[in-house]
Amino acid sequence: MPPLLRVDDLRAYYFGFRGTRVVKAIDGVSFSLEAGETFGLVGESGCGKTSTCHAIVRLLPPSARIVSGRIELEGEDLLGKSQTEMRQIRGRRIATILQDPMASLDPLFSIYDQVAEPAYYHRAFRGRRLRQRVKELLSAVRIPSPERRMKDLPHQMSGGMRQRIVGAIALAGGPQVIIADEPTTNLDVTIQLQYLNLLKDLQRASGVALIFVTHNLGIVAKMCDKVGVMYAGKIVEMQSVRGLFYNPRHPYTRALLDSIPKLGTKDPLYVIPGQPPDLSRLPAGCSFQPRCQSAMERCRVEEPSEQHLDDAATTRCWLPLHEATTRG
Amino acid sequence: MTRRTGIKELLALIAALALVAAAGEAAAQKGGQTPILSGPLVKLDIKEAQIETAKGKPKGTFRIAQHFALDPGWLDPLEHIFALTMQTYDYLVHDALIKPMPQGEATYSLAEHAELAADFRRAAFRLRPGLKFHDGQPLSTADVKWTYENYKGAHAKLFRDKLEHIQIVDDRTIVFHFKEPFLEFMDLYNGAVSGIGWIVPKHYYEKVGRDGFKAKPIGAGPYKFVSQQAGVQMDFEAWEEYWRRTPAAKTIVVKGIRDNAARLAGLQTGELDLAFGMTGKVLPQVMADKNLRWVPNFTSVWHLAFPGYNEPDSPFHDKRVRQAVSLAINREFLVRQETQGVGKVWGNWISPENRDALKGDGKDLPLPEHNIAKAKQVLAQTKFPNGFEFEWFVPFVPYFDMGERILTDLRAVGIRGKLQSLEGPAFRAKMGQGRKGFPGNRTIVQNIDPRPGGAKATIGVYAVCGSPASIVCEPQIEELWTKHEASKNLDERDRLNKAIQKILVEEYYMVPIYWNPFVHAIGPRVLPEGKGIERYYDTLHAPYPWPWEVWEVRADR
Amino acid sequence: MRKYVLLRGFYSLVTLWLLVTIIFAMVRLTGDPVAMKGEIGADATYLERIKHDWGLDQPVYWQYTGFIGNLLKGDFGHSFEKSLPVRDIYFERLPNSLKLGFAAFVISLALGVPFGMLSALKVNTWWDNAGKMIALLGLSMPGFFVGLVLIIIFGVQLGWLPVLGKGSSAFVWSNPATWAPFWFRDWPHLAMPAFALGWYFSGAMLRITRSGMLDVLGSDYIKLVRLKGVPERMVVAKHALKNSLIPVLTFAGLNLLIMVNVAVVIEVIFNWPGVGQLLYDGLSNRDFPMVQGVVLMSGLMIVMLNFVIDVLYGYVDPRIRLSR
Repeated sequence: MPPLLRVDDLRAYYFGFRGTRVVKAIDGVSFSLEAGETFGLVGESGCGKTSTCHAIVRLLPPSARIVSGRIELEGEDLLGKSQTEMRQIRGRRIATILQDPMASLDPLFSIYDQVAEPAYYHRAFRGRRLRQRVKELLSAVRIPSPERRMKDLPHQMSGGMRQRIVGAIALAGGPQVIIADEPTTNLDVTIQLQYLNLLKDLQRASGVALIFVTHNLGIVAKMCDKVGVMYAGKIVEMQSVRGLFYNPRHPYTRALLDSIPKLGTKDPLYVIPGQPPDLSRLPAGCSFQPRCQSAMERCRVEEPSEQHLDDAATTRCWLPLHEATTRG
Repeated sequence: MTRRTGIKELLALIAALALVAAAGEAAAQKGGQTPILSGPLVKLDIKEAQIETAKGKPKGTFRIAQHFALDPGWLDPLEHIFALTMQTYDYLVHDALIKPMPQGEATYSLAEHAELAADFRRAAFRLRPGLKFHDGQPLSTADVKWTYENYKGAHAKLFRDKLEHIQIVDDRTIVFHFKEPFLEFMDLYNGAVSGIGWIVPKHYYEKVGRDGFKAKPIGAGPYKFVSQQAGVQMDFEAWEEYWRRTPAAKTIVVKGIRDNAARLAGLQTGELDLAFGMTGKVLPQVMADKNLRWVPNFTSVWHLAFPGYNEPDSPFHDKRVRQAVSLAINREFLVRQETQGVGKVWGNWISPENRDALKGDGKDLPLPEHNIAKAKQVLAQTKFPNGFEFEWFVPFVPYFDMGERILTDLRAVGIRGKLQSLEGPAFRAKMGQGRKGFPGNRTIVQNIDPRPGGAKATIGVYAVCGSPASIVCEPQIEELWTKHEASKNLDERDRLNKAIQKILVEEYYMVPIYWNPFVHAIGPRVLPEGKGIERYYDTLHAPYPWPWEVWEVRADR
Repeated sequence: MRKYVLLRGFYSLVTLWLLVTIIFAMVRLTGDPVAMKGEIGADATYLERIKHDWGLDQPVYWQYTGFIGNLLKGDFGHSFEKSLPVRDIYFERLPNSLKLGFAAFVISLALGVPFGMLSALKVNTWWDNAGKMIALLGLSMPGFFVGLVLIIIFGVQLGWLPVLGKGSSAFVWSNPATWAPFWFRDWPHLAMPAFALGWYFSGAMLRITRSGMLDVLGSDYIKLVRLKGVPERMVVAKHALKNSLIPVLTFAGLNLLIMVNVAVVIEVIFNWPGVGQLLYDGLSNRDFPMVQGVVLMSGLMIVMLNFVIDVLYGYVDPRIRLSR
């Protein structure tokens, strides 16, 4: 039985300046997702998380190209499909929630109109059934007085409410997978928790699989079952949430965990030294190596391959091998 | 109005009158008219009107393109301007007691009989019977009197100053009494020269006021005013009850179209039937187009003048310099270039359209010479043997090309200057100020002026020291002019007039170039076909083809 | 809100007053208008009578106060050249300019907007380059050139369209029966001048539409609409179109005003009797009241439009709407 979604060694590059400049936005991403599972994708800005989300639904900008890899939805190859076929996938089987609620909604159309669209186009709801459906969706995302608020325009709603509406839009088509790209980053902290709880409830109720992109490890801990840590376009570590927090295997993951501020102490904040890499000019060998505390000679020369470790963790690092050999 | 017959005949007539004192009617009778004034009269040369019995209904629409924007003010004779353009509208909507017609420079129109006392202190008119205005109200001497008294237009001051009182004998007979002899009265009263003879309906004007009259005038002329779009277009409709004849065209539309290329285009597409001022670059196209006809329509003579010449430090102070200028101009070439050879090289700066002008075709004044060698020779005798630089050559707007050509001619003898191109209004303003309009004294002006009133009017404007537009101011001419103004003798006046003209040309105060054809182009819808249209231009000394009631066009489809 | 409206109204009046004063002063710098009417050889009395009629024999400050006083009564004075009241002449001509302006406006939208959208949708392709070139042609070919070419080709050579004026239909303010037919009759006369005028602005419309559309296409909400799987034609026709038209129409509104008021060159070439021609005649002939009147009216229209836009924006912005 194939997984719901499988991404296998995906590479997508941006080609600029007539092909002379190549930005390796996604340079080896693999993961799989089952129904009802929440997969967290973590990393700093610019590491390729958003590109991955767009790549999955084949909506990368025209200057980008998927150069290799596979994406399969329930065993169907998504890379071979035409754009017309992909439109049947988007919204209907894979839905997306974007980061900025203030910018996500079309200012000229009513809430009803925008929530109804996926249901209209993908599930052929019409007329009274459509209205009923929209009302249900709005109730599900806990919008009060949905009948009245349906007629409103986006500017009449607060940020938190808009993001919930975006969630309703995502559900409207009845998808199997929802990709949420930093959905709470632009919300007030107090609203964030509410929203996350809502997402979790919706997921439990509908059995939808969730890809949750964030840079906030706290959210990861709360929401996700499985986590992938991205760096420089690659997933450098993938584990269960428990495993990641209790036993991080990649130096970058360790550094991320270390840099979470701890309450109660006045220790100086730990900052990962160096800068995130320029994806068009990656260093030789391991991409993280310039900033890595545990960098070895081999790291500088050879790019680490994927290491599958015993407890279903994978990591792109030479360390485990090294540890294994040194431990004897 | 000057008489062709000499003073001798007048004396003979007066002598005959003196002998047949009791039979006063004989002298003044013309076709059975009873005299109005007593005493000796001036013999007037006013032609009878040609009254045509109705020939049929007016038909067709006649479209005329004027070369500048229309002014509703032109519909009000009380505010008649000096320029001739306004008469176009006078001839349409209004009628005058006497006016120029194909029959003669002065032709009876509203008046059927006129008399001028020999002492020039009384003038009398008898109106035709049964005259009406467009609204059906009768036209009577009350309107004639009212028009005179309320006239504010050209020469208004003169008319008002000279007038003693107006006597209404009956509703068809009127006598003007003047404080002093008013020799030019008949000339000035003629519709060509001023508006005072174009009769305005008193009852209507008083009712609607100045603005109302200009917006919607009423007159006694062959066409009724229908409507206008201020500045753009005026529409007129034939008035079938006009006393002289039924107008031939049913509707006349006059449009103001500035651009001559646009006028040409209008003729070619059939939207226009008559266009004025088809000169310059469009003339060859008009001549080449087989569908169009054209009439040379000679107006006045191009000439050069030298404002400030009479100051000693002006290069043009020396007569020989001015003579060199005249010799340098290649008039034949100009005529070919500017008018496709239609124009005529001419020796007087005043047009032969004026009865009292000397003819410049060799009969009275010689044709001007073009001789570069002689020009250089003459110049060599002056302070500027190798030529000199003057400042500005100011051409008549917008004939800048012609100005350039003349400048090139002058350069060939070493007289060098720059072209100053002004805007139309600016040019007219400067000319209106005469010598004062052109500061400095190193300027040459190129001008043309088809003004009515005879050569003496033109002289009075440009060559008399006291005129605001004076350019020439010479004691010799002043003396002659003073005598002219003081003289009560028409023959003597004529003599003095011509003497002044001779001096102006012989001393090169004015340098004539060529007699200008202000070409009109006519479209195919105007009847009769072919060259027959030339008869529309029969009215002497008229730069526009009035009267309008004779123009025939094809009926509208 | 009320304070806001009053303040905006006050500023509008100040702007108008400044405009009127400046044009009053500037027009008197062009020279002496009496010389226009008084022909060469006119005697002093004649010229003085004209000067008196025109009120120019009074000192300048007196002329100014008289002028402002009359303005407040709605009297713009009498045209020097055309002898009738400026207001009457202006309003007689205004419908003609409105007709031409609207037609040119429609043409500029019809040419500019679709091509602008096409350019944006197919950005950086051959279509886009063609669109940009059309825009450039529109903006770089002056109206009089296009006008004359049209006259020669369609008027004279082919004889399809009349070259002069606007035809016989007239808009008479006092006669409502003439109102509706005025807009639709004589369209052959309207075709060339409207095209010549609209052509120029279509270039601007194309660029504005293109950049507006590109902005919209790059926005998050369009991205989300695509992520929803909405068919591409609906993305464009429903969402992108409506959103990109708002800046276009705002810009277009101002263009319309310009087309109505400042189509001087086109009106002169085609002998279209509009207010632009009045301005041209007025300037050529030093017709002070006419120039003052036309400039004032144009200024009034633009100031009023800006005032209305200000008030609308104020209404839309809740911070202003809800303030006192």
